[in-house]
Formats: sequence, C-alpha cells, structure tokens
Amino acid sequence: MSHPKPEWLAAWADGELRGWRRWLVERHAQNCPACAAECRHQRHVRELLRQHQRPVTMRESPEFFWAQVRAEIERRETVPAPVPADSRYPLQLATVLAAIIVVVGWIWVAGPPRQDRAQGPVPAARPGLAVVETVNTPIPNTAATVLPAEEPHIAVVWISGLPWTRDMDEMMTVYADLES
Amino acid sequence: MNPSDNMALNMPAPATSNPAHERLPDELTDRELVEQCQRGRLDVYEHLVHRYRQRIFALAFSMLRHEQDAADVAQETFVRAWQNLGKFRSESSVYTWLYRITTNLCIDRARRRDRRPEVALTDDAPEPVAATPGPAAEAQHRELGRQIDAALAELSPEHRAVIQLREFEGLDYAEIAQAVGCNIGTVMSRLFYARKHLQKILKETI
Repeated sequence: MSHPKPEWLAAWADGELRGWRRWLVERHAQNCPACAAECRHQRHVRELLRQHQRPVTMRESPEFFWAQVRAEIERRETVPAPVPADSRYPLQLATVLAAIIVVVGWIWVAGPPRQDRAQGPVPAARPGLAVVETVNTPIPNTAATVLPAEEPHIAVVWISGLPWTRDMDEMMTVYADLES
Repeated sequence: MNPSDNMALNMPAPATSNPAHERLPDELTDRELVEQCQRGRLDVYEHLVHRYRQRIFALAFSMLRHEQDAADVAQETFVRAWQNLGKFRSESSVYTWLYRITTNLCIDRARRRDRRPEVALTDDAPEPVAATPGPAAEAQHRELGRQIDAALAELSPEHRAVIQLREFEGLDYAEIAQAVGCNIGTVMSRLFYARKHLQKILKETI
C-alpha cells in the first residue's frame, strides 16, 4: 500500500487539505491504521499546544513602546508621509519637466539676437582699453583703432602691423600720412 | 488569540456606519487605518501599533526565544512598516504583511546573533488559567506547559514560526505561507515535522 505524503496527513487533520488530495487521504486513512494513528498524533499535539499556550506579554507599556517606535521613526526622518504607490505623481511631474524644457528651448532658439552674433569680428584691443572706433589707415597691412583719451583734443590711435623703428623722425617721414 | 479576532479586524465597516474620517481610530478596520497612515497620519499609526504590538512580539519571541531581542524586533517591525506603508498593497491583509516583516527580521537576527543562551519568559509572566481546578492539577498543567515550552525551544525559528501562527494566532495555511514567505506545501511540511518533533520529545508525557 502506498501512503500519501506525511505532510498531507497534518493538513488533513487541520482541515486544510482540498480536492483530490483530501479524498485520497480520507480513503487511505480508513484502511491504513498507521496513517490514521499519525493523524491522531498530529491532532493530539495540536490540542496540547493550544491548551498549554503560554501567553507572551511584552513588558513595556503600550505608551512606552509607541514612544520608542515614534522616536525611531522620527530619528530616521521618515515623518514626511510615506506616499501610497498608486497616488504618486509621475505623469504630472513629467509634464511639468517637459513644459520647462520646451520654454527654455524656445527662449534659447527664438530669443533676442545676441550682440556678438550680429556684429562682425571685433579687432583685438589692448587689455584694459575699450575699443571706441575702428578706422582705416593708408598703410597696407595695418589696422588702426581710436582709443579713449583723457584730454579731448588728443586722439590716441593704436596702430597694429607697423614696422618698428627707434628714430622718431624717420617714423614721421615714413608715416607722414598718418598726421592727417 | 482568537482567530475570529483577526477576521473581525478586517471586516469591512457596516454600510450604515459613518465615514472613516468621522469614526474613532479604534473603530476603523485595518485597511482604513492604513489608508489614513498612508496620508501621513502618524497619530493614526499609533492605533495600528497598539493593535498588533503584542502579537508581533509573541511571534518574534516564539522565533527568537529571547525577550529583549523580540522587543527589538517588534519595534523594528513597526518602524519598517511605517517606512514601507506606501508599498503596502491591499491584496494582502495588514497582519500577514506585518508578520512577514517580523519573520524576515527574526530570521536575519537569528542568523547574525551570537550563540547566546535562549531564555524563556520568567515565571512572573501571566499563566493561563488551569483547565482543571485544584493545586495538583494546576501543578501538573504548569509542568506540562514547561515541557512543551522546552520542546518548542528545540525547533528551528522557521518551524516555531509556523507553529505560533497556526496554533496560537489561528492563521490558515495560505495566510501562514504569505506571512513567512513560502508556499503552502512548505507550510504543510514544517507543521507536520514540527509536531512530529514535539511528539517525539513529549512522548513520555503524552
């Protein structure tokens, strides 16, 4: 005679076996003294446990226990509510983020033109001096820039590209046109 | 613990009753309490803690056999439960969810802790009322209770958990499976072998 699984006997004794397993164990237990005895033992131990249950009581008072739990919750900074999973706002958050991105992109693309885009390349200036005006020179391969001066009747002109000489007379001769 | 208590806690409120926000927290079902807690009501959570603290402690003590460890686990259970209330799904009952947290914490602690001697509750814990009157019968009853307690201490924490949940908390197999995180076949097996072991230990007595 093949016996049912032993754990089925416990489940049957507890009234927790369902379907064909229950039918199988019921039929088997009627004809198998060993399995019937095992079911009785299971029930007997169960009843003993229930009759001799020792009530286990926490010594701490409810108030003290709650104070500890609460303090630990607050210590872990979880007092801001745990938001239920089904009431979070992922869609709303994504919508707001998308709107911000669109607005920033629109300002970037269609905003007012910047100064450095509208004008041509700015001639290099000496550090610390502002460019006031760029003028043409009669001398090939040179560039001249009028710089602000402290005296109104003096014009400071910065000319780049000129050959250099220590002789001022020669300079005046060679570059006489500059006087005009 | 009467299993019918568990059932009653989770029965929906009668249709004629007031809305949840108009009733006292003690009158609310577990799910109604959880819903309010999920809105951040720590004051309401206190009622849920009071409702289950003894049962959580009893389960932890049955698994760990150490009073202070059990109290620590009970506290940690409710802290973790609060932190994870947002993840709680109403498909399962609140108490099986709490038991699940407790059993996981107990198993972790049992694995990590030193081999400290396991101690039972001291004798000043309230004793069950003897079924039969008379000092001799009461002494015999008490002695048998001690033997059963000692026999339970020889089981593994996992086996003690299913015994506690089945015999003392009155959960059915499906709820136990949910609470300890295994399938029903494992619950059957653990219960059978736990009782078998107890029967073997208590053979002379019973």
